[in-house]
Amino acid sequence: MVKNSNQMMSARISSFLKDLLGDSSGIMAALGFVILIIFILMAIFAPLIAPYSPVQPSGNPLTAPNWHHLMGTDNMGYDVFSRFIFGSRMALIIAFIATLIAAGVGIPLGLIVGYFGGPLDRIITMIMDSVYTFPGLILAIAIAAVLGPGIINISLSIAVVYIPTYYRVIRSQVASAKNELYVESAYSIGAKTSTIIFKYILPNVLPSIIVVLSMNIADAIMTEAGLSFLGLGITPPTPDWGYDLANGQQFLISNDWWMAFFPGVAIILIVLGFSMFAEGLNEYFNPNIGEKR
Amino acid sequence: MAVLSIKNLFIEYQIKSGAVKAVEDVSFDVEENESLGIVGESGCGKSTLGTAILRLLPQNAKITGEILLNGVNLLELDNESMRKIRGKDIAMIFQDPMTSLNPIMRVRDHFFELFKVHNPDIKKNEMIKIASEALESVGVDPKRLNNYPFEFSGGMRQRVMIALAIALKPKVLIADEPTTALDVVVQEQIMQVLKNLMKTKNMSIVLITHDMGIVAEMAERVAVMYAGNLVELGAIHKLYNKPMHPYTRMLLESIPNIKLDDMDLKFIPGSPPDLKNPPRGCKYYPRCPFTKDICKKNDPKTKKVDSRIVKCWIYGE
Repeated sequence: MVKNSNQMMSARISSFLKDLLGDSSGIMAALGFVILIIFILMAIFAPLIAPYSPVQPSGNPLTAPNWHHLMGTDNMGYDVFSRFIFGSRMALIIAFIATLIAAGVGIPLGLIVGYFGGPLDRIITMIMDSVYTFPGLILAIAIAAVLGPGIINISLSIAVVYIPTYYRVIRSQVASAKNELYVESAYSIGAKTSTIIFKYILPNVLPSIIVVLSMNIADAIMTEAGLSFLGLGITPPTPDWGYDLANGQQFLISNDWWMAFFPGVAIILIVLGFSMFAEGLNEYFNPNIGEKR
Repeated sequence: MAVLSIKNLFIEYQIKSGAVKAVEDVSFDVEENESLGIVGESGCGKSTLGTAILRLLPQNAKITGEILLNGVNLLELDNESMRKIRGKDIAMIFQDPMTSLNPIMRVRDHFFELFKVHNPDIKKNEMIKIASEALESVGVDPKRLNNYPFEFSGGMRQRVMIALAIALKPKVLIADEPTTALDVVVQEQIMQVLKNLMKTKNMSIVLITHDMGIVAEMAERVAVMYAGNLVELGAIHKLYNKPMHPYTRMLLESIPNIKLDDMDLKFIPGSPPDLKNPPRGCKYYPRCPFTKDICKKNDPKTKKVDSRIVKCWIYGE
């Protein structure tokens, strides 16, 4: 029985990959996936990969890239390559925590409001819409300025920006799913309201969230880097791409390009990875898009 | 004694622009092991009536009267006790089998859900046993418990829905247009399944439909509804052979008959009244060929004529 289900699982994974690689957009998704895996492995095994400590000077300040310092050193003598590696940790941790909080608040809220509707719906939707009106980074800056730096605080201020996205997607889906006949027939066999919400409605609306989720992680990384760039994020000397980018750009004028270049490339690559992956998933879960092209 | 007894039932939908009187003063009994057909045009309150028996109407519906199941008034029960009656004492099957099963749950899990609601301590092999028996009784291979709804055809899904409804041996099964979405051959099969179940499980069926043929085949007594009113109720053969209410008569005349050379399709002119502002007097008088003055003024009383119930001024005060 167990073996059988394993085979089914592997068959499913292989058919998933086959579908994914079937056309050019599949290759894009696969490429995004590879980028993500590299960054995630980098974050997990950072101490093993990084040649030096990211928070201690390891050479002369402002050394250009060479065989000892692959990406050079910064104005404090820190190894840019080590900070590049360790920076992935901060970016991914904050992005994941923020996305978890946003999904953890937005999804249940959308579920409950979408199901019960009425005046509650009007009030919560109004609040969510007013949050949604703010440009993401501006709102995150405002909240971060109040809360102060720190992993949790930064995650929170990013999460607040994205709660409405989840809320809106889930609420509208639930509002239509609750009128499906299978929900009524669940009632007719005597199922409880909570069972109906979590067993009948939630699983039917969840697929639409997966794409939002991977898109949001990319967005959250950008916002995090933006906050750190503005000095509202992680306190130095903890390695962080946004902060390193801000620090490095002061030295661009003296042609010490490597300090700003590598953190910038890291941010671009990881966001690109998530976006490509999300786009691929979107086409996989939503066959209508594929047909249109 | 009647299993299900409905007394003076009124149902109103409260909407912004007023109240829609969907069901007005309807009373009937369903005897043990009997099948009662409810027929009428679309929008005459058939489905509202059926859904009201399970108390599954939307919140803006106001119900007054009595719905007695074995002498217990369902309208007085609290939500929790009502929930436990659904699926166990009264079950319902719906019009569209294609969407009435949760697409992401195996058929098995639909049954498990039902059993766990009514008996939280039930063992898994016991659940599989009851579910298999239920599926077998509607002619579906019990092996298919592990399949997902999309792996079934429409007719098979309706069988699964019926199996789900009868698994806990309810006393009353409400079938709300169970064959409307199916083709004629499958209709016939489903009707056979329902007939067999009635015989073997000692169950009463309330069959809601607008298909006079299905009622003729299935039901022992028929209730004809028009604009929320029960206009005629009687034994099937008597009612079909000698309809008393003008509406019943015209409804039966409008069934196409292939034996006649008459190529014109008969129909009832006009359409059912707006239930927000129903006409004063008899609801049917604007379409009735026998309209008298009194029809326009007063609503006829429900009378008993020859063991039949009829609501029309033709049969006296």
